[in-house]
Amino acid sequence: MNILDSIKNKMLFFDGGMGTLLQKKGLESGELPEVWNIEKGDEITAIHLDYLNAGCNILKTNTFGANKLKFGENAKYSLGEVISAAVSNAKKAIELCTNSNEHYIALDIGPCGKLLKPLGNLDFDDACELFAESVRIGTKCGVDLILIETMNDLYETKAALLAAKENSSLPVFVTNAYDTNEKLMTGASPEAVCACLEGLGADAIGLNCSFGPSQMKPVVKRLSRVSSVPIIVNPNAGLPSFKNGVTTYDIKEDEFADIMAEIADYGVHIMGGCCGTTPKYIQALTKKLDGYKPKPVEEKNISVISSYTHAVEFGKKPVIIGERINPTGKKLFKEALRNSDIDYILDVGLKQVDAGAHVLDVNVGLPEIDECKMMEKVIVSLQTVTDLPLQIDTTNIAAMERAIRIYNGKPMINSVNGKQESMEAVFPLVKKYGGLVVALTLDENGIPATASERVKIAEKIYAKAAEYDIAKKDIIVDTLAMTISTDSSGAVCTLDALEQISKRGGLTSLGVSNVSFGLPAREMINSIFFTMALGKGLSGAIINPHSVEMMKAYYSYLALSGLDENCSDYIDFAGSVTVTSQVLDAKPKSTLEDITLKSAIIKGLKESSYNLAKKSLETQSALDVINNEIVPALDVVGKGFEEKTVYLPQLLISADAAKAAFDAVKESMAANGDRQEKKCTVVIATVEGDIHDIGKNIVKALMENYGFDVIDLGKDVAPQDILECAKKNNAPLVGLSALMTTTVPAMEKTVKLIHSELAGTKVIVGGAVLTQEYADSMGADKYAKDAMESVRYAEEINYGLKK
Amino acid sequence: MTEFNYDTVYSHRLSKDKIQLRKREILRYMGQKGQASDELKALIDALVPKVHSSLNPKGAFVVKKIQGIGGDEIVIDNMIISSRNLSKNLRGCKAAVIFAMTIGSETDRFIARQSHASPLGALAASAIGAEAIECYVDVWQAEIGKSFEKDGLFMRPRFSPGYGDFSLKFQENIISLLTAPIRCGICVTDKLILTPSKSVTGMIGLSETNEGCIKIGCEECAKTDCAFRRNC
Repeated sequence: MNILDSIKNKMLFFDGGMGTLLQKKGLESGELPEVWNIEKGDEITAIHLDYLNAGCNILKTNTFGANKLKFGENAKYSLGEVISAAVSNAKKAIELCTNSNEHYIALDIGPCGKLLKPLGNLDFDDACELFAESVRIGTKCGVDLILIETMNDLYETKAALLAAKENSSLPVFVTNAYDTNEKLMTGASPEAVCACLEGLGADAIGLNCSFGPSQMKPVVKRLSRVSSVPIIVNPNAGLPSFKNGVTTYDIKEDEFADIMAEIADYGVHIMGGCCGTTPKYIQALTKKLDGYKPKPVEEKNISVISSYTHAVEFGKKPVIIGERINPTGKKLFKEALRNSDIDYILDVGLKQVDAGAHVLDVNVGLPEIDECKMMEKVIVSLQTVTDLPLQIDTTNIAAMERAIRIYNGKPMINSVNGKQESMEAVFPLVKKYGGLVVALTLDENGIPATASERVKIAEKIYAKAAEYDIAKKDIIVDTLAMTISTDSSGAVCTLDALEQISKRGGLTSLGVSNVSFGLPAREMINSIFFTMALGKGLSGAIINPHSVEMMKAYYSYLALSGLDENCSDYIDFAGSVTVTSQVLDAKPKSTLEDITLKSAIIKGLKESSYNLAKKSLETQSALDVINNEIVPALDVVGKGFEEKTVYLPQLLISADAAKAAFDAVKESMAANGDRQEKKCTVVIATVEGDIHDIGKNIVKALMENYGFDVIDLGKDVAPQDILECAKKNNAPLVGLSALMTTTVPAMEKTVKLIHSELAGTKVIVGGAVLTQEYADSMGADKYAKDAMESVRYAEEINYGLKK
Repeated sequence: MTEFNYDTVYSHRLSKDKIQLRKREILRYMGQKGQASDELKALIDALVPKVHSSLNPKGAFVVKKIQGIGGDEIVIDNMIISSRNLSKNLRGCKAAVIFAMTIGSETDRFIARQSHASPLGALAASAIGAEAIECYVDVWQAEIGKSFEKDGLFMRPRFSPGYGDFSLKFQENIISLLTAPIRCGICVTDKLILTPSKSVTGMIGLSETNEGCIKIGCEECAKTDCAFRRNC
């Protein structure tokens, strides 16, 4: 019988904690438990048999840490040998078992022991491949299912699940290890985990390890409220206690079984144990729940997306999707894309977070750039700095797939439409990776002029999605806001269609601001249209969250429609609106009086520096402001730093203030159509293997203030990439940073590569562990002990070029 | 020992409320000496509560018998460690606590977010994070120290791989011995960098004699020109 059919009707039982028993049998500290599959196979078989006799149905193979990192080229045994021995030990036990229970073997896969990027330095793709190898071997050996367990990071869980789904057609179960705060260690809530794993097609999800059954209750409850797949609970035998020199777990077998029976009623379908749960615990459990009929698995019909921390639900409160990460009609944004200026794009994102967006739309398409690469870069970077879920917005299917694949969570996807070609390209991706997909009501015949035809297209999209086994809850229909200046009944049609979809229980979204193209005072029309759409049941709005009018409409609507308890969000928002306008009034008066731009920068007064620069620009040229005020101020602070009367924090405070002054200068230049003349190009990077970038960023900030054209490649950058960038941009200077003795060799490699390939390009090195001797021995052109020294050297190089 | 077993790995959790961050130390980690400006103080005051709310202190530790100390070599948990500094630190001890502790990955995310605003914010947030992990280890150490004292054992100052000549490569041994990736989410990269970044591993000698304060940290370090050196 297939295990998935079996759990529909009855409770199945996992075994308990293998590790605990191996330690009792003499597994030594530092010894790899998986080696016992080969060297002490009989012991492993005996443990499996004990669990089977205790009434368990599913054996976990002794392969928790069996991956290429531990069983690589230099290991005593190959990964293939270890896994195949483990499976055959389990098979032997099943042969020896005489009871009539149904039995399955689960290929056990634990965490790989490395943290994924961006928090760690393991590539997502490498993690997938690592797990894929184990999955392929296990599947070939004839296991019945795959169990991914004890995962405490959502991203790693996604990598393992994807690897399992791509390399095997067996059922895949996933259990995560939650922390005491009811989250995974890297921050994911049970709802976020459930959204992501269900989207990826996990066949059952749940939790294991960390603590005993009592402490698991809250998380089990939360999972059972949202999960539409069976739930697994594999706790430890309580919490370990260490009184009187003996390690015991704090609950005994019967108590364990009693609590588990209680938890079963929350809606659990598979139960077993983890650390400390010997066959006796499993026996008590199977006895207690003998003949237990679990609650049927229910389709929860929740429309949800998630980030690596939290889920956002659609269909209750309307969701605000920030539209600003999009180059359409934005000159500076396009330029940022062409220059790979990720910081600019992140800024646009972060400002929308502060403005109250719940989701960020991400559109980075420009004909002249590699959208696939850019999309990946932006998604990864955004997920480093914000925990909002993202909406992947592209018509490029390759870029869409790459983005969904590497996205940490369950994304929103923008978009599919009623054309066959579109549905056939997008739906397989939604099916494979999971996602909430925006469906545009247009097809081969264009955008219909009537509401009923648009609804018809929506129905067609729902039906086609169903063929791919994608539920209606994962489709959000965009009835297309049309420009009313060209068709005065455009908005009526859009709203009619929206209302009809909504009444039939479908989700709806709109790119609201399209409605006002070509009209004056667009915000006025937009906010009223937005309010009307909300009234018709709009579930998600793609808008500009910086628009106060739009946000006014939003918060007022929530308060008026009973979606804002005690009007508290409204009150907060109303307060913030008034405060902002007061601040704007107050600022210019108090700061501009008795202080010069130069002294404002020296003191590190950011806002004053900006305002004073603006004021100076009224009477002086941009160049004069730079040369007579900003640069002299930087020199005072720089000299102070070199003479040790000013310390690093003060240097940076002044650098920030100078940057604010430069912002004013840039704005004035842009308004006049001028361009600032830059000094030479400097390529900077933290070397391969090193993930420290604060020092490098300090150097970057100072060099930019001194007018250098800095290209920052980020951290953990391969020598070849640094070389190519320097070559492409004809950079006379490359700056490298390393913080660890272990990454100095990568620095040396980079220096040598650049010197051998680019005659004339100088390399400057720095970082906490570096010394003049190190720098000399690797052949660097310059060792800079701090950021100011880097600037001084860059000035020298620039001066030499000018001559 | 009454409260702890040899060779049993213990997980540790601490409520972040017990971590109190000292501004003086934060300024030192930032490289500030002497009087800090009002702007700098205000910046730190603004960031401290934010970093504090990102904390999720957790760790793992084990008590191991020292198998031998001879010359500049220590044998513990079948690891042979060649280190003059560590030998000196552990001399006379029969056992040692081996530990790994972290304040979690949320702080790294906060620092990354700051660094997009300005390197100053990142420097400050990173310094606050550094102070937080030091504080956490101090609090934990004081906690277990009391229970060891009941057994007549006194703790030496903690000593970490990368200090002096104690090779960084023992990060790997310690992380694996404690199953730290699972117990507290601490991993080590192939370049021996700990992730999350605000994590510490190390050893603490347990001695039967109370030697009082032994000079540690900055005072013991040979790098006298270090920008972060504490003046005592």
